[in-house]
Amino acid sequence: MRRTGARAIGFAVAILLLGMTACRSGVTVGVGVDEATRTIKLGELTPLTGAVAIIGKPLTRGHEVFFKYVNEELGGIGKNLDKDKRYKVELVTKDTQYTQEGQVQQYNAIKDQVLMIAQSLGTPTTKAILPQIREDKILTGAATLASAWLKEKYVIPAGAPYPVQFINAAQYLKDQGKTPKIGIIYQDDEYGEEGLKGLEYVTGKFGWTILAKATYKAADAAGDASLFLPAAKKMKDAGVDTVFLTSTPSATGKLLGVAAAALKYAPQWIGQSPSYIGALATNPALGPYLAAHYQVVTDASCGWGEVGAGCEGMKEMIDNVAKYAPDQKPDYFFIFGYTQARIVYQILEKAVDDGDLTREGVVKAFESLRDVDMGGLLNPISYGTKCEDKVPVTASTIWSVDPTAPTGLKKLEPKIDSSLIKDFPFCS
Amino acid sequence: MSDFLQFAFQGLALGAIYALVALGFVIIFKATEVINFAHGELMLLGAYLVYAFHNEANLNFYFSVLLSIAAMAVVGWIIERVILRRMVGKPVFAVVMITIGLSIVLHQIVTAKWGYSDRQMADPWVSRTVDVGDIRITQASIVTILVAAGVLGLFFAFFRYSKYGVAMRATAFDQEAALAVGIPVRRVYALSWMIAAAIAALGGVFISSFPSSLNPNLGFAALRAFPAAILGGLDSPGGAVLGGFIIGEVEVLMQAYQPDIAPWLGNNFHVVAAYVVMILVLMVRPYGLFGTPQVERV
Amino acid sequence: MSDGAAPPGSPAATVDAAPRPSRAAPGPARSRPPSPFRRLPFAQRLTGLKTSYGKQLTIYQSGFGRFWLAVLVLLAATAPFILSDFWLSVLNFTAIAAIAAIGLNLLTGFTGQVSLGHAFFVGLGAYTAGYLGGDRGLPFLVWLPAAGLLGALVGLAIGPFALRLKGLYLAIVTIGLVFLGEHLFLNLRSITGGPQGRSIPSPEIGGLDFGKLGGLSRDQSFFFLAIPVLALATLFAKNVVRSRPGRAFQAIRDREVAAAVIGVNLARYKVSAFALSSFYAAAAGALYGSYLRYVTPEQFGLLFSIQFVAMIIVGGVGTIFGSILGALFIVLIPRLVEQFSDSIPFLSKTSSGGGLDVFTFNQLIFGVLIVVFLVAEPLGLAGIWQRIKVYFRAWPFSY
Repeated sequence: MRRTGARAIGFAVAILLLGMTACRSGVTVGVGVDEATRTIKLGELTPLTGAVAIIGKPLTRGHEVFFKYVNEELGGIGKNLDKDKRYKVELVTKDTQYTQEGQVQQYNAIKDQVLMIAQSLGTPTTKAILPQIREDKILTGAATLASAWLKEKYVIPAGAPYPVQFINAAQYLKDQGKTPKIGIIYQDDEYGEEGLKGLEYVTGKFGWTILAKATYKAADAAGDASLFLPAAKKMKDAGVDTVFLTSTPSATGKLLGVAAAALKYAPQWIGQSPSYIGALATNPALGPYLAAHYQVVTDASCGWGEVGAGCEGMKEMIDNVAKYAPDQKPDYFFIFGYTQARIVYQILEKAVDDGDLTREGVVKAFESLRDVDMGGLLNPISYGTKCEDKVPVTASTIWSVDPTAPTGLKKLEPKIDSSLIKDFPFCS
Repeated sequence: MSDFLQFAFQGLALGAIYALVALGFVIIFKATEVINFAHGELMLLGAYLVYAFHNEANLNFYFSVLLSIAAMAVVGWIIERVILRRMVGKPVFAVVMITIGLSIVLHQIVTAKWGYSDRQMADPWVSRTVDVGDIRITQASIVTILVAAGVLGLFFAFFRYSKYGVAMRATAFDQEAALAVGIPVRRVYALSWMIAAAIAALGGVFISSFPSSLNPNLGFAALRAFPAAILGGLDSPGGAVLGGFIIGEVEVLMQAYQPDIAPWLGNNFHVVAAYVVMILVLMVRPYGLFGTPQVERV
Repeated sequence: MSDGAAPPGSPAATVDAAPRPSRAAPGPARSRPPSPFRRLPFAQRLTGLKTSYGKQLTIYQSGFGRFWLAVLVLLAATAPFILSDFWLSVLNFTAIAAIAAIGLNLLTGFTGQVSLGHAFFVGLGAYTAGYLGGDRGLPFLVWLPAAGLLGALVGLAIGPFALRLKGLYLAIVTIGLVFLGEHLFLNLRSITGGPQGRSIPSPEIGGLDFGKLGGLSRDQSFFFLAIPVLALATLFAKNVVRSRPGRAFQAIRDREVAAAVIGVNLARYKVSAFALSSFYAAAAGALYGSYLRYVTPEQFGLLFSIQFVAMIIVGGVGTIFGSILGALFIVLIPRLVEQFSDSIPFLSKTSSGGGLDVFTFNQLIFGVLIVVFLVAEPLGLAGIWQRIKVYFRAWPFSY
């Protein structure tokens, strides 16, 4: 039951009361924070069933594992507070099934309970709740790498937008002195287009031409590999020796399999981060081909299990996985989720430090994050108020495939940070 | 020219899979007049069962396939016995909806047990290829086509010569009359579901063998075989097979040549192309190539 | 809300049994369209005997019906202030889905033309709204009907296929429509924005923005638009069904050849059934788009179509009320199952690896519910409703 007037009064009274108790710990709190139990509620809007659950589940698990670690080992949020005064994190998880209706409904279900939304997965789905996010001023972590979020005040971009990866990959080739014959195969949707945009931009700058372009339908990735033969053949016929790939793992497997088996075609494949999963490397038929011809470009980070200097964050993650989720296999989306959770954590820590755990306070904390250390999971991230400042990272890592490594990846080039990225028209 | 042959052959391989799916679909429809929207998920379950037996329990591959076929036959029997038998005489819509509900349930069962990531089937012929002149053909494709042809041949022989095959045809033709001459119609229904599920399992094996993989969304790929069933005529098994091969060819050839010949049609026109071909055929023959026109009572 | 079909046993002729003193006897009968809300005397309700055309055509045959209608209107008017945004958004989606479901029921339930292509028309309506409202800047009162009209025109184009194809053959052709639609939405970038999708403006009528009315939330404001539009759509559909076109549709569904024999113009009515249902779908799509404010091509796939089919089947094929009930069921049940499954102890609430978690469980239950429900009551929710009504109509003599 809710009436607008009574609610406003009740809200004000609650704020007053909370303010009085909060004053004791020096932190102003708002909706989503319970002073009595010292809990912060964070929303998770993610597909946990349906086709996209393959991304949603490990991503959410990354959040869960990280916040479990925060609650149990760090005692909660607020490293400068006494341990018993820290805020434990509680996740309110809702299954959106990757539909707009689901997203809108579940958003409404949680919006009065949470301080911020830690995960909103999907570009179209997040766009569906965008008007409400703006109005309710709820900070939202978008679990997608679309460049559209850079322009939004209340959305946290969790990594470099996709075009960055290909720009860096091409830069890597140029730095080696190569003039590759380039082709691109991309998925027929927004994700694919972002990859294409990145490649077109960087080849334009370098004066290279894209000899062949081919798309494939996302739905075909689930079916038979025959439909991938034409795309691979097109690359071969055009004489392409470096194929850029913006795809999903199912499609990658089929494409490379067809190229290897039916066409005996072995160019250098360079795939964006979501195009690869560990199972591809351990596949007895594909593994050797991948090892010889496949490279992955991801946001600059440590590999799964890489625990040397500069990778404390990864060590922390591996330890936590062993403790809280021992059955979790190496998974790109898990790392993404874990990293995103860490970013949210940094924002909340800053908010507590600034003494303002309200929705506005959290937004301010987000905008004021500068050079925050991510323990190697990502390069130090910075945000800001202007669109141009909100690209959190610009460096990428290039990997090659090594079936003996944990995720099957071996670092080829730890950090590429092309100077062309800052001129990319993210904000137009 | 060799390009064309390569694509054409690949289209045949894809068509063989579609033919298997369409055949299973038509068998159920012909015998029971039920449109089985869960057919894709039956295929999915069959494929995953092979994975479970072969990759997880480490049984021999061929044995796993046989086991899966048997298991799926049982599943088909259960579905028919427990759910569909109660729907005899009820409106067709309700039954269709039930198959849709079933497909949701089956999908969830598979994903609950095996998750959402891709899995590799580890079939024995993997990436081995055979060279025929200029073209390179994967062994997988050859096996697919051969086995599909074998199964279809077996099936037609069954339909024509065996006792139950004739019984199925009789039931499909006129259920009441079949009952009247003493054909065990209930058993025939159960049998058609079992056979269809078994064939679906086989289709599942081929659609997920290298370089394809096991993916929970396989069921939707099966949906692409519907135009095949329609093209050939919903009550004609032979038509379903022919339709399957036609659709397979259309899709691969479209995917290969349309971007160059007719780019204005947009990206990835091949999915629509299958339906366009189907519609064109239907315009000329409204009941499909070999379907029998439905007799209407006035 | 009765179906408009006369209960069995009513006399074929419904002439005035005796001239009424208040009515002028001579002259041609003034045929003012009878109000749907006229009320019948108790005796006529019970026996089904109607003594005038007006009485036969009235929708609410008893005071009971009118009373409950008034209650419903009152509830609808106050709901935005009582219910939370969550339930309001559920109801909003239900209303939009119900409009589309009514359209589908008119085509499939009443005319017997199976269509699985409904998602295409809904998408068409949404993109038209975006284009006309967003790019062209036309007002809501123009783009909503325009979207519907475009849908109707396209439906008219599909109609001839229906003439040539029967039953399942037609159904699969309509599936092709969905794929064609997806293809068009993806590739006609200048209008649809391609894979990125496009934004759709908020519905505004004369300065009132139904995406944001004063201090109300988005869901509250939209409720005030969605419910009246649904009411209008329902009323119109109900009248179509009870009038000549409706009877023609049903005749085509029941015995096509016989209908042709007695003079029902098959071509005309089949094609108009398609046009009408597409109008509804496209209008619903325009509303849907303006509620979501952003659409992408992937939304309007086969699964979306199947949802509408589920709605009319679970709700009750061939009934208008059933469409609304079905929409409510399909939209509401997953949310209800979620609330309820939260309290089941053995289900894990996290998204950990294997095993059954709440989310898979919800989906499972949903599928099982559909199956069980239809096995138990193939006539759907409307069938159940009808049975309840009939029971109470003759109460306390029902047995």
